[in-house]
Amino acid sequence: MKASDRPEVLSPTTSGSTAPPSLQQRSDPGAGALRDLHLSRGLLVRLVLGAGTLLLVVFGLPGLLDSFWLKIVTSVVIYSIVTLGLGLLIGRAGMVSLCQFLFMAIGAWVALRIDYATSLPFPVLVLIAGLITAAIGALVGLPALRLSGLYLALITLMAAGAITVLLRIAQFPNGGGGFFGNSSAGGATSRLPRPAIAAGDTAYFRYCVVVAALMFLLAVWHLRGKPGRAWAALRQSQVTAVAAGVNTILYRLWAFALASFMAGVAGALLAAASGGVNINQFPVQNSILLLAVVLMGGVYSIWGAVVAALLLRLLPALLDDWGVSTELLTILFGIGVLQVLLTAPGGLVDQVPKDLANLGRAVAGLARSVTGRAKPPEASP
Amino acid sequence: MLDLKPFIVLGFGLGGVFAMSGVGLVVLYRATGVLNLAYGAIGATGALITWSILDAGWAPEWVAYLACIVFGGLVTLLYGVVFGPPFAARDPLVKATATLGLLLILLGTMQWVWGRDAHGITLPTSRWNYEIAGARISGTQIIGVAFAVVVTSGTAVLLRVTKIGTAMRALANDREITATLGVPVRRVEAAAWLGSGLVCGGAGLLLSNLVGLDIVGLTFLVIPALAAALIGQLRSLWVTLAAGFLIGIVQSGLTAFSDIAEYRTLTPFVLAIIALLWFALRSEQSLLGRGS
Amino acid sequence: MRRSFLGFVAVSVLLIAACGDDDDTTGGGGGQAEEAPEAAPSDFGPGSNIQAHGECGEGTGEAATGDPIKIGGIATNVPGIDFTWITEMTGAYFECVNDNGGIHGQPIEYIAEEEQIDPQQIASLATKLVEEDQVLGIVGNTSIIDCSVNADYYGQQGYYLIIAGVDQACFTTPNFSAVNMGPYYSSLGGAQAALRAGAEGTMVVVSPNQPGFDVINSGVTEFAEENDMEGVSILEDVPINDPAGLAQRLVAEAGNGGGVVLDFTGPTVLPLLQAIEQQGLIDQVIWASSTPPNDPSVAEELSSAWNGKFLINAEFNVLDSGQPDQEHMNEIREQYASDVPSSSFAQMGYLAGRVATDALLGIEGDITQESVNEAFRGITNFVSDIWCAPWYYESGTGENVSNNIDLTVAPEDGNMVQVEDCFEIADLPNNPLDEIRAAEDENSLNTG
Repeated sequence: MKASDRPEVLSPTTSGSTAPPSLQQRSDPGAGALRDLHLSRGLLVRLVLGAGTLLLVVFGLPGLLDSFWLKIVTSVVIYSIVTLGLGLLIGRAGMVSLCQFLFMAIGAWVALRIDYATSLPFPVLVLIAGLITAAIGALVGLPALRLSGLYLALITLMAAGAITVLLRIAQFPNGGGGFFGNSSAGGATSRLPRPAIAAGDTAYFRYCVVVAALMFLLAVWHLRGKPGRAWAALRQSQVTAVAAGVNTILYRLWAFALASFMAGVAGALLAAASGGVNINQFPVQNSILLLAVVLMGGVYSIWGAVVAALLLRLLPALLDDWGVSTELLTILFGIGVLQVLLTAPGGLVDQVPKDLANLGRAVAGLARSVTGRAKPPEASP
Repeated sequence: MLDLKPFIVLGFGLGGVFAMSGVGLVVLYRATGVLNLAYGAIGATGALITWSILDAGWAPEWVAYLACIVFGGLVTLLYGVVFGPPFAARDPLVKATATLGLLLILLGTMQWVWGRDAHGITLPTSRWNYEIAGARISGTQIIGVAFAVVVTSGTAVLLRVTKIGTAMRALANDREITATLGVPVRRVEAAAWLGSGLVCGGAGLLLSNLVGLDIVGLTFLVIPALAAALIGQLRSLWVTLAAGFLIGIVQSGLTAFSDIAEYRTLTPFVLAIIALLWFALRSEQSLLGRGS
Repeated sequence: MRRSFLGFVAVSVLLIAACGDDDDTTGGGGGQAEEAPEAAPSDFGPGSNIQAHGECGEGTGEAATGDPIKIGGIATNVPGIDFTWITEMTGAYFECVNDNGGIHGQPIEYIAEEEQIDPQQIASLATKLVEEDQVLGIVGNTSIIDCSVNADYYGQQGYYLIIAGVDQACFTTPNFSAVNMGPYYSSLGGAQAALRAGAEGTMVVVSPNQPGFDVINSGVTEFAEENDMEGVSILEDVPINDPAGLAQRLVAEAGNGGGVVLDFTGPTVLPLLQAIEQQGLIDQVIWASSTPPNDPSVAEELSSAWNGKFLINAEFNVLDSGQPDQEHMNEIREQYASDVPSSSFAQMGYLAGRVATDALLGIEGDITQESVNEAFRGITNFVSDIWCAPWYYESGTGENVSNNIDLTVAPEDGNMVQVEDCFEIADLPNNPLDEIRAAEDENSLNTG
């Protein structure tokens, strides 16, 4: 019984306490603002900053990067969609999924298969890939919804293993016939053709940023609306939520479907990214690494998703550039998981500003003490 | 369809593998509430240390084998002592997720230190062979089966009959109340962690011989082991044992059917999903949280 | 490149051995040449490519100090699949060249990258080499996905790569030419050896369950059918987690006296071989394999029960042949790349470095990206005692399979020894060896 009283995944609770910090305003952005019928100044500032950053990224960034780093950054943008979904799932709905990475593979598979069979436009392909993946995600999560969160996590771990096996059997579509659409004559790597407006690398980068921005808006829309409130209620106490009339099963399923939708969308974008997709890039351990970076990035803020994607895609490329072994990253992420769960549930997004603030205070204190010491010599004759 | 008999025989050996790991998982879960997903990784690291000792040749063989078991016990104990108490009051999901951190640390270490080459260990017991129905079972496979059965029955007896076993069961049920009853909680927990770790090390040594000393393969052997544990509802050791054997026999048996042979590695997942659906449909309440 | 009498004698000895005993039994079925190539010693040059001890390139013994010539390379490196030995060996050869005067005074700067089987990563690595590092040529690539991901890009940028090929895409475009022959042809060579050893009834081939490997299996199954046998193709997940079960299955599918061709890497196949022995199945069928197990570390682990009973197709001559080039490779390896084990990987890296250096030295005029790749493309009649026949880059048919004559080795008391002489890999209706050999004859590509 004790376990079900504490569905809050990450916040450490002292024994006996059932009031997790999720009630804090900062962890549910905009819930308060929603009650105001006009835009508050804080919100306006945030919107302008957000739009400004977006414009800078879309138009300014490609000019600063050469084609190698542009491909890496495009990869970061695509993966930030997956990490966004998983972050929402963990931080808001308190559920852990260990197969999100494989859902990307499903999204890529669906997009490729439909593209070979029809001539639907690219955005439609991406949308369908997301929706079908969401449906599959809902199916995977369904058996465990009546069981504890641990069972759901274990089912997703096994689903990850199962999908890996199925993927090897079915392989990615490459123009062949039949249901699987895979023919031996086709190549080992499958590529989804890009839309005409986004054929080049720079254009595709911008396209991905736009899609990612849409996903972030979708996340915010959820958080400010009924699902967000239902998830907050679920996090406090499942029993209370049920008593309050919240359909816990529906909203848990919705969270899982949303995370799967985002993974599917990201998968479709990945299939059209440079290089395409290959079944070897989806081993089970990548799902665990994904969980690790999402926890480290921070699950209580949607910007944690960007940090997580940077850890997963940019950091290995940088380390490789500096000649450092990438296996050390796996160890680092393992330590990161333990650290986040133990002491810093907000992740880097939460911790770094705090650390910087602490650092700022320390520096200010140091400066004061230095100037304090400097005074006596001046005063002396 | 090929002749089924040799595959059924081999399936017992494979089943012993799954049963061994599954039982080890459930034992720790029942005593500490932690589902140690790093189980396979700990065993694999121990086996690699054994390999290094054998390769360098600066100790007799039995020392190398013992090193694997000792390593398993020490690492698990260390993890339990350091990370057990801080997580003790948290959700089982959080505790299991934390073990994923340990998994990544060990996986990265193994790949960094031993990742370059291939490794293999041949236990002396693998050279003994018994022929049954056209297939040969090695001594190691028989030990694997026996190991699983001994661990299961031994743990069942321990938990029910001895004082420390009763303390472990009480601990698993409610840690705070058990502490107020004067049970030395940390010592009992440490005993549980150590015991589970030693079993993990032993299993790792046997598995490295039965399925090969492959870093990723051994680490993620925890997935089919989980399937067996889930069928046992993370509660019953005997059901987990039986489930492990069932998965092994079915998976091996499917090899005989050429058309679906390539799907046979799905067996653990399919059986686990069926079992979970069965439990979910049958009763909701009894599965929330941990049973005793 | 010094002509030496010793080199000429060495080449002649090798050729006489190659032209010697054919122990093939004609197993029916049309058109497969299973005899060794009928080449008289005079058909080959006077061993102009054979190098003397300690020399590389121009052999001046002085360090090169001019503007570096940048050459790139990419190799897969994930746990379980490590091809960096090949690029390390190529780099080692280039180092030796730099210690010996470089390319007319200019040192070679070898930029070797590693990839982790991620298409986005390898696409960006190719971009980095071509656009950021601006390499003039790419040599030594050995990757599971490079050929299928980057073939179009390299073609557009005008690069002709000298590689060690892994998947079929490496052998089906004009922009790649491999120093090895890849699993399709190598498995086929194994099947030919099994047939000659008396396999009858059914020929089974088993490969890792990777994209495109059903095509690789199709060579063996087609060969079986051409020789009135039944062909069975099996794909198995690697690493093999149930070796005893797989062993039983292979024997059951092949039937008593059938043939089984394994197509796995050395570390992967070892547990399977040990399980076959443990299950008492060695003598039930004829066991053959593609080339990767041709590795001293595999031979050491096999007991004497396997002596002569595991027919491995060898893309290169045996490592202890004692021939000049092979000895040269051993020297370079010990001096510049001692952590690379003596293996066929080392041979591949060495050969890639050799032919590239040779081509670079032959460039008249400026060394630019165009001239380098033209030079690579124009390589013909490169003789080495590591190969059965001279190597060339381009067949002109659009597909390059320049190493298409192999030999067979088998384990013997802890070593791999040669058991069959060089023979041509079978041309089949579905593979281009027919056209390629016609083009070879027409354009004298490998006649010396």
